[in-house]
Amino acid sequence: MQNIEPEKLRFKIYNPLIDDLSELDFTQNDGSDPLLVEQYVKIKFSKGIENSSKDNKIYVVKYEEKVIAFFILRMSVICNNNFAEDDIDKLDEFNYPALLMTKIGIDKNYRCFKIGKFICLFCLGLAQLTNEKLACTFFIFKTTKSLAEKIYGPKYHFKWKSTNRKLVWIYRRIM
Amino acid sequence: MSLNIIIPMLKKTSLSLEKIVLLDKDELEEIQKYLENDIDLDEKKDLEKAREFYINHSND
Repeated sequence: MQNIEPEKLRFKIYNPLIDDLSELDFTQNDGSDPLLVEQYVKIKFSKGIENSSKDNKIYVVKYEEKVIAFFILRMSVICNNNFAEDDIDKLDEFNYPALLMTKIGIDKNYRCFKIGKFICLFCLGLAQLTNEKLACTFFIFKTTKSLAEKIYGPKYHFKWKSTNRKLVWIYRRIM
Repeated sequence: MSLNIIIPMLKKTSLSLEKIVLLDKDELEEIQKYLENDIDLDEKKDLEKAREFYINHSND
C-alpha cells in the first residue's frame, strides 16, 4: 500500500458482533510486545468478552471497512503517588482530570501511515469537547520511551519526564 | 505509598485504581509548570485541527 487517505478513516465504537481483531498483529517488528497490546487482544477480544461500558470506551479504526487499529479511552485523574494517608481530604489538590488512553494497537501492516497521529487527533478533539462539559486538562497514555522520543514528542507535541525507564507516561494539555 | 494503603483510601472516594495515573512528585511538578506556561502556537494550532478532526469523525 502506497499511502492512506485520512478522510477514509472511520472511528467506531467496538462492536464484538461485527468487529474482528483476531487477524491483526500488534507486536513490534522484533516480535516483542512491550505494552502488552497483543496479549490483551488475544485474551480479551478473542473470547468476545470485552465490551465498551460507561467507564470504558473501546474504539476501532476502520479503513475501507477493515479494522486496522483500536484504542480504549476512559476518564482518569493524574495524582501524586506520594500523598500521605491523612491527606485524603486534600486529594483534590493533587488531581488533574485527564482523558486516559489505556490501550492503543495498530496493526503491523498499517504502521508508518500516521494512524497513531489520527488517533491522537481524535482523542485530543474529544478531550477538548469533554472539557466543555466536565473538567479535562490532559490527554495521557503510556508508551515506550523510544516512541516518545522519535514520534510523539517531536512530531505531536507530547511531553514526558526524562527517565531511564523503558515505558513513560506522555501527556498533552488540551487547553 | 503501597497499594495496600492506596486502595482503601480510594474506596472512600468514587475513584478506582485503574482510573488513576499515579506520578512522582517531581513529574507532577513538571506537569504543573507545563500548564502554567503559555501554550505554544504550533500546539494550539494542532489542538484546533484535532477539534475539527474529531467533529468530522465523531459521527462515523
